[in-house]
Amino acid sequence: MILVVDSDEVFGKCILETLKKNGFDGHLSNNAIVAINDISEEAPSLVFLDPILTGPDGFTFLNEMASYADTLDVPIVIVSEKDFSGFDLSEYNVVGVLDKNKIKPKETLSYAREYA
Amino acid sequence: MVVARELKRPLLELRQLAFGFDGNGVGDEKIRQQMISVADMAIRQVNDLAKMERLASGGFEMGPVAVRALCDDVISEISELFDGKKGEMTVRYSNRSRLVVANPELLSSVVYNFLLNAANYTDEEMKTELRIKEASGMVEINVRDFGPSLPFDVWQEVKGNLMTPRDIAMRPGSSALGLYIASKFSKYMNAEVGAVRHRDGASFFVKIPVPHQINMWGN
Repeated sequence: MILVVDSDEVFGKCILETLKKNGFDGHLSNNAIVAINDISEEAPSLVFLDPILTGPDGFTFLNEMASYADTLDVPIVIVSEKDFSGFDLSEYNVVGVLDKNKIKPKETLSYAREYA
Repeated sequence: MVVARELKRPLLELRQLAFGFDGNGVGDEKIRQQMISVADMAIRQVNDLAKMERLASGGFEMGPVAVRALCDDVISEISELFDGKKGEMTVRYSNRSRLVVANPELLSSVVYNFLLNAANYTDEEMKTELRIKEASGMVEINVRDFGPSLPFDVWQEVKGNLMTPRDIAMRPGSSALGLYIASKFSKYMNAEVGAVRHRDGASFFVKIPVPHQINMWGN
């Protein structure tokens, strides 16, 4: 299962639809609390995350992911308007950063095919 | 700058939605409806900004407005956004006075922006409440969302944004521009605007005076 965490639900659903149309099983969480509950039910194989979330931010979610053995190694792809290129995100197992201003479905699918 | 960033959001959404057309027609109608809904929302925002310019010249006449009918119209307009979230909107009217003195365009924008804010920040599958009630010669339109509880410092920011738009750390994609617009429009109509913090969300309200004559005719 691929988890998409995005408070912009229109955007999140677009990513989810792209994944589903291409045969991937996915789920959308619209805030960190919901996402944390979701990963406790089923560990995802890959996460697309916009860290700028309603309520607690995405780093709350990333810290939660990093604190459990079953989610520690789950690859994370950051999808955001903000520029995270200068951040050291390696401790969160971030495998890629996508710019929301330019993202195309083939980029999303590329990560899904490699990691999910 | 803050406003530009907020207006960029629908453009990003439209761009992503357009990628969803895959040529075989499957799901195209749903995407088309979503694109119209996002575009309508953006057009509303731009129109509201244009109205802000007209406020200074006093270009909005005040008169009797049927408050329930106005809210019904706005709910009808915005309901697709709630459908998209799988959320539920409940409406409770308990006001005796049917008419308030306001400008229908501005009051419609106030209610729309309150509901849009609630649609953005209420949790999926949670309800949003719109209530119209009356007390002390005022009709109050109150919109309650059930989103994540906001820490006090963030709450101060949200309240502050009723006065001026700026980035709110925990409300992404939002400068609370809609709330700022609602605040400005309310003041123009001599209405009182405010907000209440709850443990599971927030309420935003506007209180509109009901002059005695209007009250008599409105009942």
